[in-house]
Amino acid sequence: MIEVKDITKKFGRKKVLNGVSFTANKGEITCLIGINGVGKTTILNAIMNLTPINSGEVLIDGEKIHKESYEKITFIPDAITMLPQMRIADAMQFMADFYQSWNQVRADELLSFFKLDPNDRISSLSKGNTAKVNMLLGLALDVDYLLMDEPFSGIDIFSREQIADVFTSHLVEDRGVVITTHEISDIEHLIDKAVILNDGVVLREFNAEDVRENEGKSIIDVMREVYQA
Amino acid sequence: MKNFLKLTNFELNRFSKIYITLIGLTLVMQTIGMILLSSSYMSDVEEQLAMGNSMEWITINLGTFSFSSLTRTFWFGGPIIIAIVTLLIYVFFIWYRDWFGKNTFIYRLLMIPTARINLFFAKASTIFLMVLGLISLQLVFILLENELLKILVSDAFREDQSLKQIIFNFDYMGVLYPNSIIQFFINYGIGFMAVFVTFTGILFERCYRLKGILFGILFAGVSLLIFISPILLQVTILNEFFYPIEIFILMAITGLVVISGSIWMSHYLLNKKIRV
Amino acid sequence: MVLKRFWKLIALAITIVAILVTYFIHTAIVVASQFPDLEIKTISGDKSVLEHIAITGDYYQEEGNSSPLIVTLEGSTYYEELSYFEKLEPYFPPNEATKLKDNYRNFMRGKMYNPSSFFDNEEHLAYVGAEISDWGTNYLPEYYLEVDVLNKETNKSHSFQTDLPGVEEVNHVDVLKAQVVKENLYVIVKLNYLLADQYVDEIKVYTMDISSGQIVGDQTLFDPSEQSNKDRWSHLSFLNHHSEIGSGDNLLLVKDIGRDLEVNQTDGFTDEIKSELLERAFYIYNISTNQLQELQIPEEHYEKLLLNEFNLSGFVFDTHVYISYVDEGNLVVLSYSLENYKLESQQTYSLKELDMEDSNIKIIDNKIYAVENDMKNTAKIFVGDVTTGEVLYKGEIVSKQNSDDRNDYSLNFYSVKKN
Repeated sequence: MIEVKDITKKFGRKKVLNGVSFTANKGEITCLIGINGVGKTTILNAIMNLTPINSGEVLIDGEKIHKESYEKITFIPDAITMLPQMRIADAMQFMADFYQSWNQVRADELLSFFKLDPNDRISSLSKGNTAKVNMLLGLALDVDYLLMDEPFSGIDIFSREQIADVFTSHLVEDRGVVITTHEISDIEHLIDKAVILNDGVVLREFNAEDVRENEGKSIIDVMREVYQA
Repeated sequence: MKNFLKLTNFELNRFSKIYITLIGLTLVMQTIGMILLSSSYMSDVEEQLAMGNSMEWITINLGTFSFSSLTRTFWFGGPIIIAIVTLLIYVFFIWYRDWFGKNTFIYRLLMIPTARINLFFAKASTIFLMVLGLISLQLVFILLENELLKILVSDAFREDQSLKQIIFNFDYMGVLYPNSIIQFFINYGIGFMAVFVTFTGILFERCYRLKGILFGILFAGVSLLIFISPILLQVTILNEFFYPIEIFILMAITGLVVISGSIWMSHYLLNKKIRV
Repeated sequence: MVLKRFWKLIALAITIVAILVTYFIHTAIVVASQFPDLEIKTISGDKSVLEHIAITGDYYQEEGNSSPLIVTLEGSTYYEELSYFEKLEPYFPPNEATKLKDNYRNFMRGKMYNPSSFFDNEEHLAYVGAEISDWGTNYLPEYYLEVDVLNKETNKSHSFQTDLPGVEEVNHVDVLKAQVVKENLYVIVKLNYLLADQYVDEIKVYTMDISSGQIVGDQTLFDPSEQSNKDRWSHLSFLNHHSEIGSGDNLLLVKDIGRDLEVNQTDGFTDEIKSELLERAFYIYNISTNQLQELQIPEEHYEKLLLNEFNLSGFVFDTHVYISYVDEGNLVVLSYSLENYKLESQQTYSLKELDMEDSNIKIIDNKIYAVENDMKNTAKIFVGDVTTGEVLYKGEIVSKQNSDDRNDYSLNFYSVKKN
């Protein structure tokens, strides 16, 4: 379980996060929802210790993040984090070099699933394929938790579908996924849990299934309710 | 340790094209310089011989040709200066390249399951290796160019110099190639300490941005003060109190304090304050 | 696999280590072979007279390598061949003051290692240094005396600073001797200053009360106004002060009076200034008794001493004072007893056979040492007994290697010391 406990974060005088708390469970897809600039990426960065927070804490399976945690949790930012001059094979080699949790079998499976050529240079890939490689590098790690920042933004419809398919496959099963988006419609059906953010606070944290069954509302209905209140 | 070596190798590979270019540039420019200068000298000599002047007259009036005739020109010093400037710039660029550009590689580096200070050590080691590599290869180049000189200029007009004389006659090479191995460690130790402190300064900037520049400069200033404090004490309030050997020991200690302070501060910044 | 992926790192590391190790081995060999190993070759006599004797000087090579060096019976030591840490020592060759550093490390901190500034006996170690506090408006230095006296029994030192009384505009101050007698510290300084358009030397004896740090006595040995004569120059010098921390009471002084002559050249166009020595007097000053005693020089020696202005040496040793000069290849030593200040013996040694043109003279333990300093690649050594006049040793400093292939250097020896 990832526990985000009352974290605050200031950029200068501006409070970006003002006491954000939520949890994300293993085996569930948790979605951080909010308009752009609401601090979704900052939360993911904070979970990964990629940015300092002013107060609060983040626990991963009850522990603060430390170097071995990166074998257990990984982050797929919105842009690829490999050098452009690398070929896909080099990037995979880099991952294999540094991560014990790197699973080459799964990486190969993803390569053929996404129809990628390992000899292509990252700089020569289309936006959609770059996003797929980015996904691949994260998904091929045998980690318990996956954080994804806007995995669907700015890529073509077919790539989007392919990536969405991944979420329903065994590649994601049993793992805890935290995903951010400002565009819920594509992935609404995938989400187990939604966390609605605005002005640096969590407006609502709820189980999508429960709301659907008990209140008969979709996530978008809840969002409308929350934002227009 | 293994991760550190992998990271160092990785950092080295990232800069290897420019690095090999620097090595090539040095060898090519110095060789061309040697060929141009010696052939222009030899054509002057032949002109004088044709005019009927004796060899003695020529060696007195034109002078003899030695390796120093090359070292004083831009052909020799130019590539060295270019290499030094490039490496100085790279001390900064080795960090900033991970933040800037389209693909922010710093995400990947910070998420490697290893102590983050290894990034610091790997980048520092890369700089050190590249500096020492250039220094060593330049020695070999001098020997090669000296052999070339022997082919190009005939014995009568050539003043042969030993490696030590070549270095001795070329001002700043004395700093780069000291006679005593202890002096070598002192010179390069101070240089590498400066690299460590600069790295910490860069990390301050990366953590606190604009304010961090101030912190970084402050950190460097304090480091310098700590390092030279024995000398400052010696010339001010203590009035030549310390013996030279004591100054040496004290500065070795303050140097180690600065280096460990720099490592500790960088460790703290990378773990607690760094932002992507 | 590992090799293939890490080849750049491995190759670079191997290159660096291999080249730098080779370079430093090469440098060590070059430095070691740069300077010739010198040895003392006996021509005649017993070389044991050179035991505990160090001959110091400089080595020069045409290509620009130079180094101070020490030659003993064991061979030669060059400063440039010393290790980094040995080079950190402030003086090479070490003198008597630097040796004090080993025993009195704390006391010796921050002091100038000028042997004449020190006094050393069983009870005390004293230091008097002439230091410059400031530069005056007329660019003349302002001196003060830095005094530090160590009581060896209590291991406590007492330091103070004092101005030089009676000294105003002075060009230079030199501490010639410090001596502790009971509760007092006697300090002899030589001042050089301008008096009526003439630079004059003045020798002052200050008496200081150690406990109060006050100057209680101030005496001038020679009236400087006497020296201030428009047509004459005059110099006062100590002959036995420079390299030793003597605990003896007696100082040997020489007072020279001379004039500069314009010598008309035969061609009638060029004039040359020539210095002529007119008077030369020797004095013994006893610190304890505060007595100045002139030594009587026999007529035949006096003439030669005037002619050989610069070939003069003087020593005070134990119960005797020695005045020595070189004249036409002869080394002459006059011995005076300190009891009655009378000439006791005179010895003449011929250096002609050794062909020594220019030499440095030193008397140590009743033996006279002469070492050639003629800027050649060898140097002759002569040792004689000053009491008997016997020639004890003749030898030569030569290169151990065949000297034929190393003629591009010269040796300049300027001092003989007891090691």
